[in-house]
Amino acid sequence: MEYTSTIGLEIHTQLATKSKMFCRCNNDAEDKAPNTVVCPLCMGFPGTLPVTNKQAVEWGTKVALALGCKINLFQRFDRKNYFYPDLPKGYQISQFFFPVGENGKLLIDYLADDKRTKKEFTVGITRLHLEEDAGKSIHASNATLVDFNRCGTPLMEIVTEPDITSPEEARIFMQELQRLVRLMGVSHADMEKGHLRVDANISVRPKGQKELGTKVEVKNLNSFKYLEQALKFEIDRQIKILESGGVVEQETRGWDSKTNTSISQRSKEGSIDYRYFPEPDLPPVVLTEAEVNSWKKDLTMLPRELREKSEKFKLSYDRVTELQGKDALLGFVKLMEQDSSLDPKAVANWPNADLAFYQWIMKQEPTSAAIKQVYTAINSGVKLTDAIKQIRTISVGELESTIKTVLSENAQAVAKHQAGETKIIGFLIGQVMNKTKGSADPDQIKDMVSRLLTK
Amino acid sequence: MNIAEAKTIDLKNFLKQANDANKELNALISIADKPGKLGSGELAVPCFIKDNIVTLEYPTTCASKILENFQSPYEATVITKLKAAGVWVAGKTNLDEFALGASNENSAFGVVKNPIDKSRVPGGSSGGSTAAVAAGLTPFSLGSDTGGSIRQPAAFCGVVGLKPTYGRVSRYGLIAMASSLDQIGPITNTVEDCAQVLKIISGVDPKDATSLPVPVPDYPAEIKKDIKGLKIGVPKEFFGEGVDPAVDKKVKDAIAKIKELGAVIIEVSLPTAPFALATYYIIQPAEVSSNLARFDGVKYGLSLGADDQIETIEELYKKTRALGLGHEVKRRIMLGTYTTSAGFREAYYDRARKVAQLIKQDFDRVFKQVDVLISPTTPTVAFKLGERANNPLAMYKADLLTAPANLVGIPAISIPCGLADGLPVGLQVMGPQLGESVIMRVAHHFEKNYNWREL
Repeated sequence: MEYTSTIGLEIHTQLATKSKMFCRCNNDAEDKAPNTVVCPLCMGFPGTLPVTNKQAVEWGTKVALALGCKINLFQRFDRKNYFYPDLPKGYQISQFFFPVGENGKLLIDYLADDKRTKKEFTVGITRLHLEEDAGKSIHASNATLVDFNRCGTPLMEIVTEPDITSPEEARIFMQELQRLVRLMGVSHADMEKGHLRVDANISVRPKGQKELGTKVEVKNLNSFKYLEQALKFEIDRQIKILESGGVVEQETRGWDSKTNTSISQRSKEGSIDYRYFPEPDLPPVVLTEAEVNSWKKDLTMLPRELREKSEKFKLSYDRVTELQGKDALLGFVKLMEQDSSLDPKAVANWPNADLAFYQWIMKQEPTSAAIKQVYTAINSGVKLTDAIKQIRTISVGELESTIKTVLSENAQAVAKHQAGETKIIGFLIGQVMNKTKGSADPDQIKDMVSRLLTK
Repeated sequence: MNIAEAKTIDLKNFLKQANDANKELNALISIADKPGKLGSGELAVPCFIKDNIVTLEYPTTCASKILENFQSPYEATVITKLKAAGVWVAGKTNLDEFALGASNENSAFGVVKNPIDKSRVPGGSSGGSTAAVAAGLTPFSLGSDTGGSIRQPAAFCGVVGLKPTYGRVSRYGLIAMASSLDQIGPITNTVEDCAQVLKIISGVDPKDATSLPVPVPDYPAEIKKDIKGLKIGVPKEFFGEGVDPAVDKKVKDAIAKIKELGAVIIEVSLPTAPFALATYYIIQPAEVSSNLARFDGVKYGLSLGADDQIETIEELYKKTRALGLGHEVKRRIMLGTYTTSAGFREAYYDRARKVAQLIKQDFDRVFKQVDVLISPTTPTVAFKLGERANNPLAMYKADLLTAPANLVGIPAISIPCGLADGLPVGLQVMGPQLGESVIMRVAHHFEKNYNWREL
């Protein structure tokens, strides 16, 4: 029997604000000793009071806009109550009743496996809300240690609709989201470092069946690879259960990357009542239409728009996705928008350089060897003008006249070539290379020599 | 001892007197072992502070075993403000554990006695603060008032106690009981002193997002203004049923005297006010259950951790909280956990919030007709020690007339207005939001023209 899988994601993204969500602690705890980037507030000391980070509200709202959500002008924080050692207040300040945004959707295009076709799918965004991160529990052999550095880091929680139909789509969605928050400059979104975390809800059902199967939540998916692997594993596991006449149990499972299997962590019966109620220490966040509209105007360089723009600049879709994979698409679009006379292929071939570099290529028509030399030099910090001085460049025109000279000086060899001794071209190329002393690209010389010989 | 007298006091004598009197009253939890330094500001006097306001100089216990030796790493905004005005904090006062109580019998540090009649309770939860002021140990004290915790003991001890408008005084550093209702306020011997202290501790605080960004009036000057023509509302729901006839009579006599001073007396009705107590006892325990979750034995305070052979984290929580928290605290946590639980929240917590909104609308309407409202502060005079200890409902009724002001967020002051069977009777003046000046004005003129001990 064939099966359909249904996947929904719950994503946590740390915001790279300067200070934490509700206190003034440095929000960058990377490589810092445990419990050194903390204050009485994020340690949950009695009497402390939270104050909302405005930057986080702005960024959260902008991401919700980028995900097509309807923005709530009235946003409110609530308390999510539960006991855990790395949750120092005994509750997490989150948004339950009035999140930042709801009912969004993200349309994603991607390159199919054939490396040519453009495919598309849409994922509904149920909601986006803001909250604070908890600390980190480090389980040692006979004790659990807690590092509160991460405590209070602003978090965006994004919940998708169960619109994702394959592990591959799940990965592509997460990669798109990573690009989106990085392009917006609101998160480092490094999965290995936990800036971007994802839990997946997944169920399978026989193809054609309307009713959804029982969903299982899979946690601890800290890379795109694990996400895809875990979902594949889970689909297989659930299908096997159904095939053998069993029933899939609603539960939470954790991915174990050592054994490449998921392990049951918690059954539905063990679920917690978080006793949400409004956070009395914080006034609600009240935004105006005008404020939200001005933020909306800032959103110009999102991943999908970049791809569309790149294609309009006559870059093929496979090159677009290739550049995107190198994080070079924004640079490409920016350059092409600065000077539309630039050759998109040249800009795509040599990503991450500045306008002057491409203008130099356009004007001077240097050989690709020269371009490569200059490109390498400027990427190691040499100024463009100095890099150009350092190399011997030869223009197409100069190369052509050098070749013509060589051909006239070696009339015998030319005659042999015309008589059918085509191998002699190697000798002629060697002569040209001697004269140009490496300032021309061998392939370019070869092309031009053979073109001029056949004239 | 009023503030003017305290400015010339010998600090050694001050400490000795306090230590001597404390042996019987048990009003203090901490006291300095030697004289400290007074500043040079307008309030260069010593004082004692309720032990749920964090200080660097003394432990802050909340009169709980769980915080028996707790040392705060920071101090409350009100303490910083007092110090800047010249105050020396000479110690900390006893209270009902975590400010939960109306008799100061729920303290891990023992019962406080009423200095007027030592067989009676001083009221609570700021019982230590009011007893210390009433016994002449300190010119003023700071208390906290969530449902009457400043005004009710002030009434029982025959002193002045004011609960400011919610947001008038920063709560930063007040160990939260019910965050949406808590306010810090002064306890003094005279209304003039109350105005002076309030002026110093009021004002917006960037560390408290619920503090109001409104300038602080010159209260000591404001209260001197005449009360001729002021419209005084007498809400009929605050008299009669549930109020002791002797108390009822004393307050009505006082109202007649205020009329003699030129004020206009108007009978008004607040039909929703009788629901305030029930509403209060839903909202307050709900917030308590969440606010007190942080006392879990993990970070600070009492911890039955590794040394006590704890196998699991749940055991640490259970043993620490079972031993560290008192009966009344546990009762409120259970009540609040119940009313915020899934399936019950709508019926209790959400509905209580709606009722509080209706009560507020009622008060708003009445304050369009009158400048202030006058009522008894408490239904009875100070009761006997132990009399209500095993009857929590009877104890909760002590908040009957004070809780409305907390639910509505308005200011209210209690001043003594006479004696019933030799015990002080409290008169409560409630005002509209930020109406501290006008309620103190009425209280000041009554106090100036009549000696309550002779009424």
